[in-house]
Amino acid sequence: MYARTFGAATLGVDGLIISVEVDSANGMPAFDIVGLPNASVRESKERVRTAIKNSGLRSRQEKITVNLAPAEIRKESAGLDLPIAIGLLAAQGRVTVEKCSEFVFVAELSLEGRLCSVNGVLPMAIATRDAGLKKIVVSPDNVNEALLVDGIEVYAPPTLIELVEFLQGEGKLEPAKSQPAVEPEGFIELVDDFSDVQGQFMAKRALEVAAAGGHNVLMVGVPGSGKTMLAKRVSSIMPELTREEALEITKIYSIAGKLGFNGGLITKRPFQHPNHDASTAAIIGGGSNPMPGQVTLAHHGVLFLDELPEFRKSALEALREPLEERQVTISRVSNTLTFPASFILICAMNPCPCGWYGDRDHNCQCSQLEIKRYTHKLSGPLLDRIDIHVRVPRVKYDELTSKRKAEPSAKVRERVSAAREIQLNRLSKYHLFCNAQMNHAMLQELCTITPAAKDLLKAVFESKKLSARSYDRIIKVGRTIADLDNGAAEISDKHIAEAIKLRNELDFER
Amino acid sequence: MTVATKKLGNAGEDFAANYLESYGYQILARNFRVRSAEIDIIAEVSGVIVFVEVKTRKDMRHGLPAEAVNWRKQKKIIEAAGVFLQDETYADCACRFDVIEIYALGKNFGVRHIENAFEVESEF
Repeated sequence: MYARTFGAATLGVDGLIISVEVDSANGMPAFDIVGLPNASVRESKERVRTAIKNSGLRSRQEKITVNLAPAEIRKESAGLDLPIAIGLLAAQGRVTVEKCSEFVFVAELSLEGRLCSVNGVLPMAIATRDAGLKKIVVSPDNVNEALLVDGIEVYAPPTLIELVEFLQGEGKLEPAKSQPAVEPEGFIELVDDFSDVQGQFMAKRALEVAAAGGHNVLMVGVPGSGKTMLAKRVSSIMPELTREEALEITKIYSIAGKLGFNGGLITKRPFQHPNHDASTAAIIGGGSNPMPGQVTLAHHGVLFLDELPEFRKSALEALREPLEERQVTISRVSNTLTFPASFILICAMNPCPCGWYGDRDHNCQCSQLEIKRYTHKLSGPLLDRIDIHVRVPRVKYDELTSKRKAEPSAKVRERVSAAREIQLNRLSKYHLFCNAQMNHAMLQELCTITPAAKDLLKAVFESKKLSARSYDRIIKVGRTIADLDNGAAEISDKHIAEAIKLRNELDFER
Repeated sequence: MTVATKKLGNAGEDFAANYLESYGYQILARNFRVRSAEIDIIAEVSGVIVFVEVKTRKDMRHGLPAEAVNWRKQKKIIEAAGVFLQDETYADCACRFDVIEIYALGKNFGVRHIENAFEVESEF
């Protein structure tokens, strides 16, 4: 007999409904799965058969053929165990086919017949709703994730036998309700706050401007000056996530299998800090079935590259596309996938290999050639995409031991959020949301500059021999500074002066 | 193959056939042979064609009897079964592959019947 059930797989950051057809007929006993299954799906026949047996159900040993459609997409998810098992039971008449076709089944089976969690349930639940199906069956561990999607009923039986009894109309199974996250006892959340950082006013101001305008930042400073500490706290001054953004992030983390213990909505902006040994594929995503990389995991958050010149050149150059397009396209023979990658890039580096170049109290041991070789690892095009360059000097003793607490993140966040609001109003007609995304034409149209500021720009342009691109960037940063200044309509000389300071703090004499 | 082992094997197969008949199986063929492939017993029970491989052992020096029905042996049996099922009489029948272990203890025999011992593996 023939039966069809629905399962789901993921493709990029989206879910995809897979129709699972099962035929069980007379003939030499066999269990074949067709429709481009990968190894974990092909192995599912052993799990399915054992789980059915250990649930106290019997399946006849017949010629069983399972087809996964659409056939051209490689199926990776072990979550297809459950639809195959239910399809097999339906094909052998243990459960009614009509009842099964209302559901999408997503769970891996243990040999004992328990439903186990799988990655990517959130996008699969979204696909379920979009396909017009109303009900999804997931393992109890995936409930919170599936419940994030409105408009579908979620069922989470712990075992296969409970599900089968429910489908047979014997057992009872209530749709799951969301459970509040229970934090493990003694769990203290460490909150990184800007007030932890003493001194470093210049760098803090630069990061505030960056968070407000979505600008990328390069911090150059001597070892131990607090670059890493500062970068870790940037997400605490960025505006709170909207529900839409939070869902997008949760989707990505669901697919990457990084959702944490209760699998609910992610409410904090991500902070990704890959080691400098990271490969290009780790940074931008990859694999034969492409998985999200660091740039995608940092979506709506911060990507922090510490010791920037130590990264592989190819990995750094690969950042150009996501920085420009706010997404990353990964092409493989089988398909081309696009992952979102809208993040603020924060980089940190030492000024020279020994680290002390430019410090007042230490002597740099490096030769000019060594310094040149070190800084030249960073290509012009990459540095051009980083709007703000700032120096982070050694913190002074008085500042470090000062009793006065620095300004807390919440206060900075208020200013940043207000500035973002202004930008959104100005840029929403272009479908943009922050100043860093403006192009040259928009700058001409949207940024009015006072005559005094124009004079200043001219003087600097000529004395520093700026490129057209640098000029644009100064105006962009100036616009953000004006937005932070209670939303000043015009960019004044004061704003421009600060923007120049944030840009030309150091230039590697290129 | 020595005469003794051959004799032991035949005795085991006879015993297995009697055993099956006593459980209501109808023997359709014995030693069904296609080229180098052979099926010891082909029987039928309640509409299911059963292909039986009989393995007889005197001791466990070489492991369990059923362990000797390895992948290569299974392929042979499946190949022969395919030929047997070409016969129109048996078209679209349910079928299965069994292994019967016979333990020869002096003049007595012990039996273990493994139903559905193996199935057809796809080629890839």
